[in-house]
Amino acid sequence: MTVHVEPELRDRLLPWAALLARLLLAGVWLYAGASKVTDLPGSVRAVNAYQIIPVSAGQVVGAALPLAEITLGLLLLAGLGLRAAATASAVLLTLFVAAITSAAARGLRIDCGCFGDGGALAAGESTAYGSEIARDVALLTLSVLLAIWPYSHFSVDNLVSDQEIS
Amino acid sequence: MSNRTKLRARAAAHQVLAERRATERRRRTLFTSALVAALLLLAGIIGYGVYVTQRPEDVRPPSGAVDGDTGLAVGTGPVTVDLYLDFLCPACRSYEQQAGPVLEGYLDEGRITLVYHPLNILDRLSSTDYSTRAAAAAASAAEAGKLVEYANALYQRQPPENSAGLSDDELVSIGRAVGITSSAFEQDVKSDKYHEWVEFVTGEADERGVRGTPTVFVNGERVDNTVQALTTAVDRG
Repeated sequence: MTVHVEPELRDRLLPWAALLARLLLAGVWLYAGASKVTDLPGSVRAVNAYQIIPVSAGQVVGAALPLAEITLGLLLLAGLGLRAAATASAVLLTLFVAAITSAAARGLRIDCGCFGDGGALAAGESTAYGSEIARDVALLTLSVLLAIWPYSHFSVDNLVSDQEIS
Repeated sequence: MSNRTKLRARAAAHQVLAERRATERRRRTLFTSALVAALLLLAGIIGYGVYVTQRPEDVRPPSGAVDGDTGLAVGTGPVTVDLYLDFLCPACRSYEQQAGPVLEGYLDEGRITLVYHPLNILDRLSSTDYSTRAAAAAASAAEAGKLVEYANALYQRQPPENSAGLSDDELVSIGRAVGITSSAFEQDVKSDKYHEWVEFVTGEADERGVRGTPTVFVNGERVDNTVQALTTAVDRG
């Protein structure tokens, strides 16, 4: 059974839904970046704990990620270049999901380091790959939807666009 | 002009306008996409720049540091045991409790050189960078020739994770309790003299593939964190 929604109602609701998605993603990226930006060496260690790329490449990625995440969060918050920002969000999350899956498959015992606290787990701690992947896939889905339909209320994009969003 | 031609002209004008709008929109989308990409790239480059400038240079290692200035050695035996640890790490404490007596036995027999690599990977789990301060204090204790005693005492007084950790005064008094009398020790612990060195050791450990603490090597080979694995490896020499 398909739920029939009046097209008019749908057009009214979508910009609000997009706004909600935008703010949620912005919050997650800002929090993720802020939790790591004060400890860049820690962020580098978290990346290297995955043992996927060489240590020197891990230094670049680990050091670059936190500020890039904060910037992405700010762009989403402002609604500036929303289609591109949502696409970047989807690309990053895809890479994260792949990295966590790879860590799980190789039997590594690490924290994903998504919000700081990366690296090897202590003896008593257990891995949380399942919930980490589920969370990232949910955020990835939101990002993709937002990239497909990036028209939301209260965005900077609206100021420069001639697109009508009810 | 007939009505029909008028209509046709109007439709054509509409189409031109619509096309112009579409082109304009594409141009704008391209521009904002490029802007977003540039901003993200710029943020990443700045982050890496900050990381590189923060990386310690001209590190002043404690006197007697070994292994490329990354470790503090005790004993001079033929078998080298490398111990990568963080004084805030509970697993390091329990390893010390189990393997400590065995290691001290080997030291007494002159069979091993025990090299401590104190790291600060758990700094974010104390509000005062306790891992860095404790590791730096251990470096000062090593200069005073009391490293093993001091390390033991630090583990006995180990603060819980997510606390403020021990104060510098407490780190000094623990040193006094294990018999370090020099005034230089107190000065060094209360200054940040060896803090950069600890950061340096932690970075080197990362490059050597140390992914957590404790990590133990015997003659350069990684061994499990059990007494059994340790004794087997040392006995094999």
